[in-house]
Order: sequence, then structure tokens, then C-alpha cells
Amino acid sequence: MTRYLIKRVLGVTLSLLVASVLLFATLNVLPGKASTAALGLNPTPAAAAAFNKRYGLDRPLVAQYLSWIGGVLRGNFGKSYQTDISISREIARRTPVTLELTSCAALVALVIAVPLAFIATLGRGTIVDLVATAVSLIGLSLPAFASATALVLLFSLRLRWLPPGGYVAPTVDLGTNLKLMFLPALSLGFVSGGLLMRIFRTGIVDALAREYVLVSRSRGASRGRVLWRHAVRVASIPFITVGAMEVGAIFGGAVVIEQIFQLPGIGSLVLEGIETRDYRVLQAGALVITAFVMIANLLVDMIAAVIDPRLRVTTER
Amino acid sequence: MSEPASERRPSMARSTPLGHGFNLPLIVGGLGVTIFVVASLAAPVLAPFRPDKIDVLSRLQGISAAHLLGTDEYGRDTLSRLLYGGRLSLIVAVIAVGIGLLGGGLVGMVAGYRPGRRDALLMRSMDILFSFPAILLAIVMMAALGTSVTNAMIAIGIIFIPGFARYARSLTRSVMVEQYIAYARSTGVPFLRILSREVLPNIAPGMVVQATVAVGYAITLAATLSFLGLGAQPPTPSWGNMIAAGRGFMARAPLMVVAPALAILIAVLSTNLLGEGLQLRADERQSRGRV
Repeated sequence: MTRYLIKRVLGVTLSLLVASVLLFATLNVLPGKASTAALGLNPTPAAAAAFNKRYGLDRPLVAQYLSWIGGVLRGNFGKSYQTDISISREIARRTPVTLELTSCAALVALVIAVPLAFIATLGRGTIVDLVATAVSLIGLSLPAFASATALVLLFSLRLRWLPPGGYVAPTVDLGTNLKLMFLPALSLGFVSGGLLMRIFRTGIVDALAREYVLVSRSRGASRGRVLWRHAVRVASIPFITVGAMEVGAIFGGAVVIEQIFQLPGIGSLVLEGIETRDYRVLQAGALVITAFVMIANLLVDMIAAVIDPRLRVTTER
Repeated sequence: MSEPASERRPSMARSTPLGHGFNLPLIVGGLGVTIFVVASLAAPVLAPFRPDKIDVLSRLQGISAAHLLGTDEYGRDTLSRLLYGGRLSLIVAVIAVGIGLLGGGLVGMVAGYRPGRRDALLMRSMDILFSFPAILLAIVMMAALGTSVTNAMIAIGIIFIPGFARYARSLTRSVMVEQYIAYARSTGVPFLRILSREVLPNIAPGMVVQATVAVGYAITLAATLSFLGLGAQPPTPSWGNMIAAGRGFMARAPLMVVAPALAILIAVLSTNLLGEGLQLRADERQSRGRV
């Protein structure tokens, strides 16, 4: 297990470095953009040169990358082209918001998926199953921004139960914080919840159709025991695998959801970076989100490896 | 983490209620997709107004005989804009999936041809591309490429490449062990010819089923990009930018967001169901030993 852990941590570190090269390359293929954006449409050549010199943009791309990644490894993301504030400080301020939103969304996804899958399995082939299936289908077919807009329309504008957006830190006022987090987490978690419900239901139904379940039942094991001992344990493996992939979907979706609900997280930092064409901010935010996704994936894989020891070997390609 | 991207929207085969002997997903999904495609193609004929026809005197209206789905903040007909927006969604989704299918199919076939260093290198790079969250990757690419519908298609297409590559690789691997491949290789048939003549025809049906499911996902990605202002630019109507514009007026004219949201739901749901139905049919045939 320790060997497997070390291997995976090294793998994630390497992937992150490659990801940083990719991000840097994608955003820096078009030179001169940063100064154009920061200094207006037609900067004088002297002003542009001064700007480039100040931010080190006159050096070769490889040197620029190395000094950027060197700073990042020491926790320094540089300064914003537009506002001149420290990007690292901005990220530190915004990280808790994004992590709260994504964990709440993951919780919502599980709270939707697991009970609904059990209800559907127990009422297999009946109207209950059909309704549960329909709910999950709607969840996985409606993009988060659309369900978020619909929820705001219903709960904020019509019923006036919940505020349509904004953020208060949980340390300041936990009640208001949770109230403000409810709609964002619900719309973000609904998509993954619908998908995970399907995976879990399919897994349980498949496992219950296996011969060993029949054998177990014929030996006098109760339905509940069979469901728990055989079906749920077997079904939890694909559930966790897909769950790991949904971590990425939740973090990606957070970019959009933070924008809609005016949550000052890293996702909205990325979009602000695009709006102001501040590529250094965009680059930093995108790298941090990717790092969160990879670390979260690693944690989920660890959980899977604890549950199913076979995975420690078969993850080798 | 070894499933293809299209399996993010997973198989509902075997799990569908009423699934026995009667392929409900295929019928409902097929019907929905047919309506979506016909409505998109016939948008110029079906639309009661031009999508950009401004009529300030009848702005933000509800349902009426003249405007079946009401009007927006410029008095433009929502139904007409919905039809043209659907047309754009369909084009973007199909071309994006086509890019992913071609790129991923090629990478997957070359990687799956023979295990070894080439295979490992190709699939490793696919893994890294896959580890970025899809929407984030699309947003970053749009920032680099610049905002336009064409670039949205390219960005979404690239997102689909690793998923299709993994799927094509696994299908290719299962074809490569067949005897006719060994025969072709032993008689000196060149590499590219084996891929195009022997491998491609065998993996194509499976790839098409995956592509169907991917179209639904492509529609949601395209809508998300244009919602963020990174896709189709106003006044060109898209489902995403209609919802973005409607958010400011939805207290007075809720139809401005409800109509495009329902359109996305129906289009994506139908595509997903059709993909499931096709999968279900393929599984049934396989279990009966007909394939």
C-alpha cells in the first residue's frame, strides 16, 4: 500500500508539471497579448517594451516558463498584470470558498445518488423506479448553469426563500453562509448526483443477478444481508471510479456556478482573468483548480484501493 | 480512471425499467432526436419571425398567439430564436464530436495496434489531457484561441479526444487478437492498410454509439461556453446566451430562461436516451450471439 501511495503521489506530481507546461504553452502562443490588454489597444512601442521588461515578457518563452513555475513551486504566482496585486494572496483568500462549494456539492451528489439508487433498486420495475430514474436523467441532462438559473427563478424570485447570490464567510455568520451556499451546491451536485445514482443502481442490480447472491439466499441469508454484503460492496467499486471522475466535473462546474452566484472563489478568479485578459491570473487559477482535481482524485483512488486491494495492482497499465 | 470520456454519461443498458423486449430509451430518444434535428434543419421555415427582428413595442411579453413563447428584452420572438439557437447547438455539437471522434479514433487505433512504447506514450498524454476538468479546459482554450463559434467547436472537440482515444484503443486491442489480423500481417499488408481495412470497419459501430452519447454532452458544453460569453456572440441566438441574457429579466419574463433551459433539457435527454437505446440493442444482440 505504501509503495502504491508513493507511486501515485509521484505520478500526480509529474502530471501536474506536464499540465503546467500545457497551460503555459496554450496561453502564451500568442505573444504581446498581455501588454495589449493591460495598456489599451494601441500602446506605444516604448510603453509596450517597458511593460514587457517589467514583467519579464521580453525573455524567451522557456525562461519565462521556468521563472513562473519556479515561483509557483515556492508558492509565488506573481502579480496581476491589471491590478498589480499578489495572485498568491488572492488564491489563498478564494480557496476556502471553492473548497466549501465543491465539498457541499459532492455531499449533495451523494445525498441524491445513494438513497435514490436504493429506492429504485428496492422498487425495481415499478413506478418508483421509473420516477427515480427520471429524476436522475433530468439531473445528468441539464447543465449546472441552467438548473442554477431555474433554481434562482423559483426559490429567490418567486418564493423568496433564499438569496440569489453573494457570499458570507462561515466564520462570520454560519447560518447566512449555509443559506447562500444551498442553491449553488444543489445545482452543482444535481448533475453528478443523477449520474452517480445510475451507476450505483446498475451496479446493485447487476450484482443481485449474480449466482453467488442466489447461493447466499438459498443458504438462508436475509435479503438485507445479501444486499449489504454482496450487492453494495460490489457496486461501490464502479461508483467510486465514476465518483473520482465526477470530482473533475464538480470543480469544472464550480467555475460557472461561482460566476452565477457571485461567489468569490478561484473559478470566478479564472473568469475575471479572461474578462480583463489577465493571463497570469487565468493561468494561476486554472493550475490551482487542476491541482485540486488531481489531489482529490488521488484521495478517491486511495479510498478505492483500501476497499478493493486488487486496484493496487491493476491500476498499472 | 480508465473509462472513455463518453462514459461520463454512462450506459443505462440493463438498468432501464421496462427494458425487457421493449426498448423504451431507443423509441423515446429516437423520437426526441428526430424532432430536434428536423426543427433545427427547418428553422428558417418553422420560425414565425426572423431571429433578430426587433419590436420594442412588444418587449418582454408572455405567451400569446403571435409569440408562442413570448418575446425578449428587444421584442424578439423567443420561439424563433430558440429554433435558430437549436440549429447552432446541433452544428457545434456534431462538428465538435466529429473532431473528437477523428482525433481520438486515430490516436486510439495507432496506440492499440501494438502494445509498447508508442502505445504508452500516446495514452499517457491522453491521461493528462483527461485530467483537466472539461469545462475549465474549454474555457482556457477559448481564452487562448479567441471567442468564436468555430473556436468553440475546436475546443470542445479537443476535450473529446482522450475519451474516444481510450475507447478506440480498447476496441482496437480486441480486434488485433483476431486471426485475420495475424494473417494480414503475416502476408505483409502494411500498417495503415490493416488499420483502415481491417480495424476501422470493426470498431466503427461501437464508436458511433459512443459518439451519440457524446453529442448530448457536447450540447451542454457548447451551451455553457456561450452562457459565459465565450461562444456565439449576440445578436446570434444560442441557447446559452439566451439564458445569460434572460437572467436579467426573468422576474418579469421567466419564459426567457425557462424556454431555452427546457430546450437544452429535451435535446440532451433525447440524445442520451438514444445512445442508451443503441447500447441496449447492441448488448441484446451480443447476448443473443448475433454479432
